[in-house]
Formats: sequence, structure tokens, C-alpha cells
Amino acid sequence: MHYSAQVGSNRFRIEVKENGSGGLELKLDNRPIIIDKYEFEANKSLKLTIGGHTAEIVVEKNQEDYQCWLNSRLIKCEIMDEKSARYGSLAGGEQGSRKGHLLVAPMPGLILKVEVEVGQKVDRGQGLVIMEAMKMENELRSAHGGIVKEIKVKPGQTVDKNQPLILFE
Amino acid sequence: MPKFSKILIANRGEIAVRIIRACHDLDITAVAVYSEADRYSRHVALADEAVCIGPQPSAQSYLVAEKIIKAAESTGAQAIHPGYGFLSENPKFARAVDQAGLVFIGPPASAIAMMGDKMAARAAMQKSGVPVVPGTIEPIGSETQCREVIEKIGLPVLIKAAGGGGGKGMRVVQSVAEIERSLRGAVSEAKSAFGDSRVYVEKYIAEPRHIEIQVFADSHGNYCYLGERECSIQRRHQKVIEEAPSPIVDQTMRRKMGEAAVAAARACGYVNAGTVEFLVDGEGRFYFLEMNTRLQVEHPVTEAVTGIDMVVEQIRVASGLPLSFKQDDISISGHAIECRIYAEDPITFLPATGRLHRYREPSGPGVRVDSGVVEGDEISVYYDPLIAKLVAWAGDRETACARMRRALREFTIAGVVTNLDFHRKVLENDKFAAGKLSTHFIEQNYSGPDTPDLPELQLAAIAAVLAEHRSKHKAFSPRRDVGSRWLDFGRRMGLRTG
Repeated sequence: MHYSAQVGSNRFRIEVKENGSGGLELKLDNRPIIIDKYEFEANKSLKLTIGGHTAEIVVEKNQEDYQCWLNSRLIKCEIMDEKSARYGSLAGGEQGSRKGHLLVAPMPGLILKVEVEVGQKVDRGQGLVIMEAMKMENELRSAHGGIVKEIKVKPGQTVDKNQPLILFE
Repeated sequence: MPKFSKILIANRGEIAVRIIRACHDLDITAVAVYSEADRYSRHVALADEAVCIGPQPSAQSYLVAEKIIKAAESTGAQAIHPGYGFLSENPKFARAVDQAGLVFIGPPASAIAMMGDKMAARAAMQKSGVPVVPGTIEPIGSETQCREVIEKIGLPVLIKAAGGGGGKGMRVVQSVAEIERSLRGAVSEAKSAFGDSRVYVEKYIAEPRHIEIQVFADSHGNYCYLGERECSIQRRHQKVIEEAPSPIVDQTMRRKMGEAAVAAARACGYVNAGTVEFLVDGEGRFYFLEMNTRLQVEHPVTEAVTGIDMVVEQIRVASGLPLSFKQDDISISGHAIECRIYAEDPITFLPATGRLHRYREPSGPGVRVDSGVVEGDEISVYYDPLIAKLVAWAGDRETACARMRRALREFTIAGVVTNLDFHRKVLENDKFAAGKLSTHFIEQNYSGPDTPDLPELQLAAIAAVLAEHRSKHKAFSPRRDVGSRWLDFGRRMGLRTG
């Protein structure tokens, strides 16, 4: 089975083959990876021994992606099987996986002000929305440059964590 | 020995755990209070007795003075320790505890009230000869008045809430054009955070250090200072890394600041543990900032370098005993650093929530962890996102930093985004290593955590692919369903199984 894994700006092609005796043969970008041992444990954790090194990774499935926790750090990973990856790139998406990006509420709170308008071009780091949460005013800034396509909230509105706020083209 | 046999802790999380431990060290029974969401939390498990005081929101549980006093009365506790935050700096609560015939483990209500009113505090400090930052004594009444004051003391200035701290209701004004907007922002934030919209204006000191003095007083008129803590590493005007001693404070400066802090404590008739915060400018001049009339989050660094158990001392003093030390007994030994491990984004510093799927604390020589969580706990939006306080001690600053780096590497947290990477980055910074600190350190020296390297990204990709593969190919997954007759039965009946 072939998969395509998008991690940040990196894309890896990973082939998984079961060797019948419960073991796995893996190829990462056509390079064989020898997995000495792997084990899925209860609470979402995967123990993986590769080349004598053991790593413990907590893998959580989200709606859109996998959240992998490695060395106390969150690495988000989008997985597609090869077929959908190919369709994705045919559809003209930037490397297939990147849709118009989205600003979501990083935490529940109250929208105080929207600082941009539909159609406005914004730069990376530009302030987009001011929200109040935990009694603090926080300015949410743009992680990318882009053009505002849709504003999904109004000042005075309370939002939940991960609720979409602004959609970019 | 203190006269108390039972103490109620009006708090949750790591500080409740810390206070319960002090009670147990003194063979005192510890009573916890908890909201419905905290029923199975660490502080409840460690306490000898526990009382539920309401639903999850603090406003209906940890902030309701009557419920807490009632819990103390019903369990027969003689004293209440408020910890920090919640009701700890609420003079009405301290008074109510008194009136219920219980002991408030902290300063008298009058001292809390005076220091809690930042302007009254400034005025009192000026009167007793403690240096204060130039600015207004009275609250600002109008924008016109604000402009007048600014004309007098010069830009930049800081607009601050009279009723609070922690960076809430605070605005820096660099140019005349910003005055109106900043004043409005500060007033509205002060009102929503503290229910008090009064603000005042003071001179903004560029690149200051935040250095605070720990003071201790008993009810017999003895006052001591336990040296300083440098807390210059702040984000969003809140401390994240603290250390003792400060890299720039020598014996002479320590004595000068210590004596000023004791003068401040005397001015309000202070009893018990308190902290006098100073801003220190580039020339080593220090100015009174505010006094925190409670146990500080960062008290462990002082404990590490003085060897004094501050919570035990608080309980002793509250029971009427004199301080167990004199000023000459206090000596500073070695160096201690504290990193506050928060559930927050390491780039935006916004609070994060989630479940601690993995949680392993570091330990080993010179390492102390104060926390109130265990693996599997939920970090919710309702309470402070502080997960743990990691403290490293060693004979000198350099070794303490090395130990901190080691401990930060050992700390394993998965399921909640934390600022562990932020701390790792700061502890590797050359300026930090050289002790060149200011409250602007982060904005000037930190541009985000290191991104994961290629092998880490590949490992994550492999893990995600294996998880995806497992979910698609049941045969490959660990065969949980083997041997369940109910599942076999269900399958035969054509029922769907998970």
C-alpha cells in the first residue's frame, strides 16, 4: 500500500508492506526503512524501533490530519493514499493538499474586533482578529500572506476552539 | 509547633499540592476544596479530606468565599491557606475568614487592601522613602489629564490598571497618536478583568529588569528579607522564568533593596510572606513596582537558595509563632532557576487546552517539580494553564542552567501543546547564559522554537502512516476483537461492530 504524507512543507512517499509474519516492510521515498519492532499501545502511543533507536510517538487522529507527538512536540501530518494524492494534484491544488488556508480560533473566547475586510491582501504576521479569552485581549495574526475570502465572525460573537474565523483564497 | 491541627487549602493545582505537602510535613491534616471538574485531581487525592464547592467555573466554586468558609467550618479546620490567585489577594475574604473565627494564612486584610490599590500603595511607598517610578498618584480622570501628565514626565509611558496586575489592563504609549486608543484599551480591559476601570500613568523605563525581594514578617514585629528573585523573562507581561540570586545583584545592592522592601512591608503593617517587586534600570537604580501580598508562584527558587520552607514558615507565623530565623541567619547558597511549564502555543503564547496523553516529569540531582497533574488529566479553559514548575538548583548559575536544560529534555508531555520548546530555546541563548536580561528579552531574542529536523518529520510521517494503515486494514491491527463471543454473535446477526 502506498501513502503520501504531508508534514509541513515536506511530502514523503511511504510504502507499507506486510510480510505475513506480523512484521512490516517500509519504504520512505523508495529507501527501505528497517523497523526492528513496533507496538501500538493503549493510550494512542506507538513505540517504534528503527536501527536500534526506540522512539515513542503519540498519534492522535483528527478530522483533517494526524497529530504526532514526538519529543514533547506536536508535528501535524496529513495522510493520503496515493490515489487521492494524485487526484489532489490534478485538481491544481498547491501540491494537492493545501486548500485555501483558514484562521481558526486557538481557544474559546469573545471576538472583539475584526481588523481586515473581504478582498484585502494581508501579509504574514499581520493582525487579523482581536479576541478576548482568559480575560486577556489577544491579537490573532496571519500565519501566511494571502487574500481574505470570507469572514465568518462578527465582533461580540463568542467562538469555540477551532471555530473557523477567516477563510483565505 | 503551630497550634493548628487542620488547615483548609482554598486553591487547586500545583499550589494546593505544595501547601498540602507543607501541612503533612507539620503533621497537620489537610482539607482540599474542589470544583466538580477537579474531583479526581491530584490535590484532592493527596489531601486528607476534601469538600466539593460547586461547578467547574471558578466564579461558582474557587472564588466563592462563603462556600470555602463553610467548608472550613464543617470540617473543623482552624485556618485557611489561600495559595495564589483566586481569593488570595481579596481583603474581603481575609476579613470574612477572621470574622468566622478562623485564621487566614497570609497578611492582615488591611495590608492586602492597601497594597491591592496600586495607587494607594505608590503614595504610601513615597511617604516611607521607598523609590517609586515617576507618574501619577491619583487615577487618570480624562484623556486631557492623561496628556498633561505625559507632557510632564515625557514619553514613553505605561498606562496601568489600579485594581490589578499580571499585565491585564496595561498599555505602553510610545507616541502621542497612541494615547487615545491605549487609554481606551486599558480602561476597558481593567474593567472586564478587575471590575475597576481606574488607571494611572507612569514613566516607562526602557529595558528594565524585574527584580523582587521576598520579605517575611511575624506578628511580633520582626521583619526579614530572603534575598531577591530575578523575574525579567516575561511574555505577555507575565513571568515565565525566574531565578535566584539575580546575576546583577551583589551584597550591597541586595541589602539596599532588602531594606527598602522591609520598609515597604512595615508601611502597611505586613505580617507573613510577601513580595516587593522592583523595576531596575540600566544603572542599577530600583523603583517600587508593587507588593504581592501572598505566596508567589516562584517561591521555590528562594526556598532552594535559602533552605527555608516558606509554606511551613507561613503556617508557623500565622499560628502566632515568631520567625524561625533572623536576618543574619539568611544566606544565599548556590543558584536556582524556575521554568513555568504552561499549556500554551510556543509562538503566540496563547493558552492551549487538551488531555495529557503522556506526562512524565524529570527528576534527578538538583531538580524539583511542583505540579498538580497526572497523566490523563485534562487541561481546560477554566483554570490557569500552568502545568508544572520546573526548578533546577546547582552550586553556580552555569551548572544550574545545564541541569535545567537536561531536565527540560527529560520532560515528556504529549497531547497538549506546551512552552517546553520555548524554555529550551531560552536556556540555550548566549545572552541568557551571560545574564543579560530585561523584560524585553523575549521580544528581542526569541523568534519561535526550532522546527523539527528531518528525521523527526520522517518519524512522525511513518507513525501517522502506520496509524492510518492500521485503521484501514483491520487484520493488521492488534487483534482486540479476538475471542469475544458477543462480537461473533453480533457479526452473525449482521450487526455493525466497531
